[in-house]
Amino acid sequence: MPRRTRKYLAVSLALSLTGVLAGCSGAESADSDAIELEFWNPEADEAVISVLETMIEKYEAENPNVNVNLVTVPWSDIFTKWQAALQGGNAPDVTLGSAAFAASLQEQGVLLPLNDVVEAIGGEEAWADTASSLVELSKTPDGEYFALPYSTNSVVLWYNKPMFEAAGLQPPTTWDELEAAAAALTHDDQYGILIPSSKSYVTTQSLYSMILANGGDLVDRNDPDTVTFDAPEAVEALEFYSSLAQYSPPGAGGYDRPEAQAAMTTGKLGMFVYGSWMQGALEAAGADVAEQFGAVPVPSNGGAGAFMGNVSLYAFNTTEHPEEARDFLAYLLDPQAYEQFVLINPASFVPVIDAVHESETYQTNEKVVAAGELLAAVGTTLPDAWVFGLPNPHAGEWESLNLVAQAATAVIEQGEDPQAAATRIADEMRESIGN
Amino acid sequence: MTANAALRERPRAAGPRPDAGRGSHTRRRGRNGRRDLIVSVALLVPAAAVIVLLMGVPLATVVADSFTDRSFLRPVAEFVGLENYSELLGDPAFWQTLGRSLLWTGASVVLQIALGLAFAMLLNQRFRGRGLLRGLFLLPWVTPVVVVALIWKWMLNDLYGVINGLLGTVNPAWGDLAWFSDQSLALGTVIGVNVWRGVPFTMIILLAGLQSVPKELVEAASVDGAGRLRTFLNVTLPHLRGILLTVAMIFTMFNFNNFDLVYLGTRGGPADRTMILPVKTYDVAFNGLQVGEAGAWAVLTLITIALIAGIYFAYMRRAERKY
Repeated sequence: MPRRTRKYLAVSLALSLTGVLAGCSGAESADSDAIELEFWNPEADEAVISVLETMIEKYEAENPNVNVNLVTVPWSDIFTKWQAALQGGNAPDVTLGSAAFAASLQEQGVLLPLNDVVEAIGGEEAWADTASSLVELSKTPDGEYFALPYSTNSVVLWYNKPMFEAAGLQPPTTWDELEAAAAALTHDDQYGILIPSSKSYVTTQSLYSMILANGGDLVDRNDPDTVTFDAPEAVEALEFYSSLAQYSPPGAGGYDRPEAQAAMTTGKLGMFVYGSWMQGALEAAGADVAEQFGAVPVPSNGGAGAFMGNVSLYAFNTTEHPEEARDFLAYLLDPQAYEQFVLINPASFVPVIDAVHESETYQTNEKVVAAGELLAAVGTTLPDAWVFGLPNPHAGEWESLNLVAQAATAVIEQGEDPQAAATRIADEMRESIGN
Repeated sequence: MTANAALRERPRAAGPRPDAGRGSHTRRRGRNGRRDLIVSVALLVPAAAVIVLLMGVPLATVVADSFTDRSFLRPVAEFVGLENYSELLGDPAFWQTLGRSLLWTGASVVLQIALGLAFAMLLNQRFRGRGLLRGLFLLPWVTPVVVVALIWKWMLNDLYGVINGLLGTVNPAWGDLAWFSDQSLALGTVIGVNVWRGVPFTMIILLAGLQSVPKELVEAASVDGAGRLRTFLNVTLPHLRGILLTVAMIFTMFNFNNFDLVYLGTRGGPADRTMILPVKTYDVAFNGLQVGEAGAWAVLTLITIALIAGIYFAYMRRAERKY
């Protein structure tokens, strides 16, 4: 073979191999002495990333032998990315995620026990009272922490103040009052309450809150493999929720989070059982819009609490640096560093560390003061609030499949009998547990 | 290699020198032929490697996964043979989704071509502002899908949509129509938006086709006393046949594989009334986390579209033979 051709062939093969190998090689540290910690974060908000970066910089300055590599993976992808990374043997060392995801990963046996971290931050007393539910859900029955609460929030009843004033109504505290208010506020071009029936998280979060308010749940908390979604309390809640749809705008069967939030800002809706995190959307629509809304705990019918949103911290037991991982987690919960995080958005990130929750800088912060009524409603709700479907480890799966929302769709949009719809969905849950 | 060297190299690579003897001729051709082969293989390797890596590997992975119970929830997958397929084929939801996909595709293609042809004929006439209008007509096609979906969802919202607002002034009940969430309206609405988006593209291609219809033929037909309809049916349409078939095939593929517009518009809802195969495949994989089952949905989608393409090709070949 002539030399030139041979050279070409070699170059060509080398080029294609380089491409292949580049895809296969892992990211090796250039500085072999430094300890690399990979830290995944699902909050894609620019403000959150920037605060986390600041926190990391300070940690690295205090611990020159550790490099923390922040990787942002959106909530919608993070569970599948963890699974792929676990299979590929390159799972992150530490991560932010939700308590439901943590329960599923704990079931797989891939999480690092974190009791040492709780000791390091001052033991059980370090947690705020508002975090009590979440703390309970972060431990095994034997008291072993597999996740650490990082911040929490809850669903509340949002109500349109000018509309309530015009009708001479007080914010409802019971289901009877809720229904009466919804009926009274529905006339002309306005609707009493937003009842989403789309196959979406909005529906899931709203309906699940009503189930808790009626004393029901998806599973028996003492025996998490027993599904109770078709028990009388849950079915009654599904029935009541569906009956309120007559006071809801006709398009609510297609509303996802953006449409639901936009609908609220039109001022044509009286109430909405939804998360405290909606504050951001209301503020984005203008201070005059945000001012119109008040918040109270979800009206009760014998039960208590509402859907709880949360951010939790955990570490994978595949990490090569468990000590450093634990140390970094303790740093993230250190009041000084932690306060920066919760102050990014107080309506979404309610502190779980008592020292921060009670601190003067937090309590007198401008944003915290402005959201006073909302945070009071969340504070009242939180001790009874619950993470969707926990402690069953399949809860995250059910949430991702929008199973509970599907029951609402079936009853409201297709006229299925509530008991039949609940039984059908409960059976799907049982089947997934059986797998 | 310098440019000169390349030029010197070319005659040698192109073939035997005319003065070469018989024996050396054969030998040289053999050697040259082998070298040509090696060079062409070497040239092909990078491109082939890219194609294999970027298309072949993912496709093979999907097919392989479809024979397993692979799930994002479990680290290990087990081979289950044809179980995913037999479950799907026995599930009425699969057939409903397939039927809906065919309806979505058929209605979209027919309307996109019919309206595209109508607008192409309009813009083929001479009138003031024709150039500007041709440009404006392209806007829906060049607008990103995510913007298209959001604009329409906004304009057609039952609470704050501008179209609903206008309709409401005519009849208050019309103002309350929930275009994207009413079960009887949702599929029609997404098809309508899809047609709105696709028409400019069919129009521009058919306009090019119309301009290639010989004017003499049209004039001759009118001299012979053929009316406008007759001229269109007997002169214009036969000339457009090839283009129409090609456009129909391309748009069948586009629409059948469409994911973004339906996903952004309705996510397959309400109550699965707009659930088409690609959206369902995504839903099973990334909401249901069942990669194996989603693989079976994807492979069955691929088989369906391959069958449709096969029918088109067979028809086109027959049509080519005929004319």
